Amino acid sequence: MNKCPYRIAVVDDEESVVRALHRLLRSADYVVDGYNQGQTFLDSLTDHPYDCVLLDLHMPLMNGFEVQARLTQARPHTPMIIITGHDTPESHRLAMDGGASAYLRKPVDGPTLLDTIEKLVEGQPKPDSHPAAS
Amino acid sequence: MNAIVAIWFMIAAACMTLSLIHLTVWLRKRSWFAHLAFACTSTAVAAHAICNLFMMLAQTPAEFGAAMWWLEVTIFMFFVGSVSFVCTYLKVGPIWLASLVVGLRGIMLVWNFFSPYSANFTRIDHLERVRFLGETVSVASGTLSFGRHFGELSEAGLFAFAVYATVVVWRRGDRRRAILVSGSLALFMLIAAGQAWLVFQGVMVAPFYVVPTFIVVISAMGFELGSDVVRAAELTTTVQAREAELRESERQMELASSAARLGLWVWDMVGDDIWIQPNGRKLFGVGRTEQLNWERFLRIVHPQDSDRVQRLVQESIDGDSEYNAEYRIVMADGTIRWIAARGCIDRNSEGKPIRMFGVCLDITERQRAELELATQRDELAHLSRVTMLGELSGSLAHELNQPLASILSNAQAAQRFLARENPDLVEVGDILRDIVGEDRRAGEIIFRLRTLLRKGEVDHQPLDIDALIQDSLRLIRSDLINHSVTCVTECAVSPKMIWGDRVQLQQVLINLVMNACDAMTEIARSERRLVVRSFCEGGSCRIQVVDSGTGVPEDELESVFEAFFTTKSHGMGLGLSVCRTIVSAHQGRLWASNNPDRGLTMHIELPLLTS
Repeated sequence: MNKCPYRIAVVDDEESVVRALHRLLRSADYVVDGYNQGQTFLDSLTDHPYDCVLLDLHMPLMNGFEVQARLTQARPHTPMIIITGHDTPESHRLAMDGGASAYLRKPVDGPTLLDTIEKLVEGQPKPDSHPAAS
Repeated sequence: MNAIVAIWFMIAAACMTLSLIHLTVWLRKRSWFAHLAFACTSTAVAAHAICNLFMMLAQTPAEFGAAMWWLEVTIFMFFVGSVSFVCTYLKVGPIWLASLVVGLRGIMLVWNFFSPYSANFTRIDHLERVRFLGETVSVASGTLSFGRHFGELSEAGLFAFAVYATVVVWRRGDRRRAILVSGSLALFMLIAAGQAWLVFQGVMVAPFYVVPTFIVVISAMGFELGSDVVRAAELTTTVQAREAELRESERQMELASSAARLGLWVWDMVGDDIWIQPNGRKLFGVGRTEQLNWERFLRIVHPQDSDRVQRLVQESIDGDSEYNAEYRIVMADGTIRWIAARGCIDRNSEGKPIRMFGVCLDITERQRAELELATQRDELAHLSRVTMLGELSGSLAHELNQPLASILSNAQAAQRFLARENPDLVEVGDILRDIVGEDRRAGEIIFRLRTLLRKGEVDHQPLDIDALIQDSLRLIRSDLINHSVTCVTECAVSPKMIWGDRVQLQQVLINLVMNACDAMTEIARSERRLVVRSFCEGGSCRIQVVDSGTGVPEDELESVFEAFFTTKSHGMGLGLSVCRTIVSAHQGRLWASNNPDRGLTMHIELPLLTS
């Protein structure tokens, strides 16, 4: 796959999870931005368009559903992959109804995640370049 | 019978009666020598009266002389008796004077034995008949003996002795006895000796009629002695009554203490002797006659409690505080009983402990019941804890998922980096470090969970209350996020150490936080705020769990701690009841109060650990 630097955002309150996913995605040559709070991520949208967003549901202050709703409002076409360790049929339904592209349970299997991202970004217009990721 | 015979016989009879009474008293109470001395004196006066009568009625010099010979014997008896009486009853001397008086009279008596006409006459020539009290009586006329002077000396000595005793007793303040006993003896001795001297000198031709006067001395002595006997009898009656009351009181005390299963004890610390009531002896398995001292007592006390008991007793002695101990004793058959003992120290005027006394009580059944209650309480606490953790299972699984997710993603990223032609080993090293860290974190979570789920003995230890709060909040972090609750901790002045069981107190804190989260589900997410605060107040550590929920009606603030009381749609309503039981078992308090604005505050008060 020709991986020109697609830009992926990882939003999870757990620092270690963000760091691990950051590494996994970088190993697949994606440009990755990590966020510990939903509001910080939403604030960044004005600066960076993302080709895909990895979003945790279980976060303090602003949970994943709220972030999802605002993201859908701001960037209706940005693919969203929900990753959660608190999996319930209810949360699955809410996430998918809220416009999520995929719903994965933690711990997320690397190849599955990368395959899912690849499928989702394939249909996206290929960006020419991205500034350096955080 | 003429008047003289009647009077002299009456005197003799009266004296003999008194003599027999006091002789009987002495025979029953041998240590009362004054009564024996009085009986001797009184008998001597009685015999003297008879001899004197025979002298007056004598028809020949021989009869007169024989009567006078016996008269001298009675006078010696009188001397011995009266001197002994003064010495023993009035307790005055001097002994040398008493011995001198009796000795001189003894010489007179010995002289008497070698003379047919008594020690007073070497010869009686004839009897003169004189009128006395309307009757004709005999009076001797003859040659006087030299031995008579020993009699006069002894009479002077007895007079001096009686005067001396009078002065001493008078000065002692006992004036009545001084006059009645020794004073009357001195006076009548003077009269008797004077009359005898006048008769022997031929100045007075009369019989020795002084005998009736001695009845006054005898009466005075007898009255005093009799009064003492009466007083002693009254005292004896009083003492007997008091003893009866005391016995009754002791019996009642014994019954009361037996009914209350109490054993009274007194430890004579100077003589190291422990007196204990019969039921107390039974309690300790000590025989009725077996001597009990401190060492023997310590041998009965359980070896593991012996040092503590000794320390508590020493503290009571040093600090002048009440002795208060609960300890085990080992019976002869090996069974163990629990004893509660209370006592206090009795000190002498110098402040030195001389006695310790108190009560002991068999509390074996109470201890057994308390142990059963504690076991049931711990089982209920465990059951409640397991139920609580069951409710938290989703959050706990999420908490455990986080490090696992991190580990998996890191590991798979590392695999991909290493598969490259020029792998970035620095990156791989960072990944491995993160994996190790996350693995440890997962292990800690599992350890905490296992500890909370464990059903073991309660393990009291020094605990930092703030560390306990942080540990508890870490475990339920996920639950707080689920409930969209913002949690703030305010811990002033750390560390705050308490003595308690980590698991049980964590259970309490988690339970309170979970309740607080539940109480805030009805309000807007942005307003769900939880404050966990800790601070010191006096000798206590206070923890407050403050929510911003809907609160509890004032009349239900206490009911929330009752078993099976719940406002939730789920749960059995045991959580807070168990929490209060746990806190109480830590000598603390748990209560609730509504906040001034909104929500509820749960207060925990625990005693601070002192050094």
